[in-house]
Amino acid sequence: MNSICIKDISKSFNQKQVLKNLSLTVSSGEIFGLLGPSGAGKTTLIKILTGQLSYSGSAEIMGKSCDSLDRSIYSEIGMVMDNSGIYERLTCYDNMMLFAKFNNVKKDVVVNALKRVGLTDVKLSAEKLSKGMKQRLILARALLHHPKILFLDEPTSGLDPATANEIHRLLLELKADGTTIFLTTHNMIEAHKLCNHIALLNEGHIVEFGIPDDICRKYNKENMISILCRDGKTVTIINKPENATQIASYFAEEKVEAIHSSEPNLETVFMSLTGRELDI
Amino acid sequence: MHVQNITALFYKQIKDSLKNTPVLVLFIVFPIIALVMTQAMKGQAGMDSLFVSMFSTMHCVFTPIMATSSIIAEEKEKNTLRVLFLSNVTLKEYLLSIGGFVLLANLITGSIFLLFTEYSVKQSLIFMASLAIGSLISLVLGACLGLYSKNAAAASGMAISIGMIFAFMPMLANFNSGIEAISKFTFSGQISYFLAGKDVTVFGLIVLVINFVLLFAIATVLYSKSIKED
Repeated sequence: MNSICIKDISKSFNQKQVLKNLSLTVSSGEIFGLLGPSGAGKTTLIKILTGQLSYSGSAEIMGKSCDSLDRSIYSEIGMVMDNSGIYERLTCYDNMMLFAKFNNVKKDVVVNALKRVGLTDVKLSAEKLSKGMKQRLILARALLHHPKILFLDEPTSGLDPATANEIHRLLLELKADGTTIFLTTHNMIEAHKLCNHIALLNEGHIVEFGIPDDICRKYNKENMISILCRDGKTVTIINKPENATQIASYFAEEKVEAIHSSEPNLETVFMSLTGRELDI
Repeated sequence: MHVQNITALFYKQIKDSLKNTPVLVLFIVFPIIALVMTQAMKGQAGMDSLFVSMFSTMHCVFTPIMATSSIIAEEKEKNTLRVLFLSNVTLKEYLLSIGGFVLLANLITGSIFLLFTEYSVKQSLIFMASLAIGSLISLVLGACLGLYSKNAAAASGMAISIGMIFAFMPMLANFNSGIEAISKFTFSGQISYFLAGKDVTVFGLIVLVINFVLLFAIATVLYSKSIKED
């Protein structure tokens, strides 16, 4: 079953077309990653899917058209956007309790949600939180009502690796619980680690769509093998029968520290398709 | 409309405003000025009622405009208003809770004016009712300014200008017939008559209703625009 279904979506701002005939589907219970550089249209697509922007084409979320979403949909989705605000003068607990009351969520669920994202000092004023802690608070708030679909717009952007890893762990837990996660990022390692399917977005077009490993294999045209030798040198050899003796000789001479296939990563694929880098 | 949404936002606003000194000061500035002025001019005939009438009109008009616009504009600037909209909070719920807080705070602090008067119980009740109606219309005007402005600084600039026009117009109307001709069609002009102890007229009530309906319609349009980004 599909949680999100988009067909021929287009969107323009002041005559500049940001999304051009975009089509994709997101299955229930999967993590879907939309990858693209800044300005590719990732946030615009989330805003369309959550009823914040008008559009042309067809977009459905849980079978409901996004151009006429009933307000009750907001009790079934959670959002972490780069512009999701928090009440800075209130404590973490008070920030959470406000939204808990909107959704009839009990106090112990609030405390557990804060613990789940690693915020233990619930009486701390939100203005004293670091960027990473604020991001965790926004994530905890988005999870408070157990949404069926979670939209995350660059959730780990600007965070330290430890905090980012904590958030990755939490997202995988949510996926295991059956939550559908729609994630935008320009971090291809994050996308490869988390996502069941990804779409590469460039200048409003989807240039590639599929399972991350499949996409990397699809563009593995050079089909190289990389041998890391014990003396620290790296040798790359084309993976074909004629080179089998040469590869075997490295093993015979006990020179091999490690051997890898060297298919391209998502960043390389994106560059080869668009001529642009992802993390800009 | 969900009552739990209104009460949750109302309590949030109390907690937030108690830590927001500029908003707190707004609610007490005119009663304190009135207290200082009445004490300074004590013994001069008619001065008590003049100061109470003048500053209670300002309190009833200027304070709710400033407070509501600054609360809403700050929510817009920090994107908490959008988060509320996307959490199934409606305009009515939001305005009732924020407005309820501003109205209550304005009435509590506005009741200080009664300490400087020798109003009878009936006059005091009319004074408080006028204060409530004036504050209600002013806070809807403040909501319009807050929803229209992109940030708190822009809202503050507009609210001060418009707040001063509506707050000072009734006072200036006492000295200029041209201004009076305009002032009597504004809610602040009519409220100043009521706060000064003049008789409540049908014309005055019609002006108040028309002002309220117009401002509420504008607030509704501005709210709808702030949900959709384009």
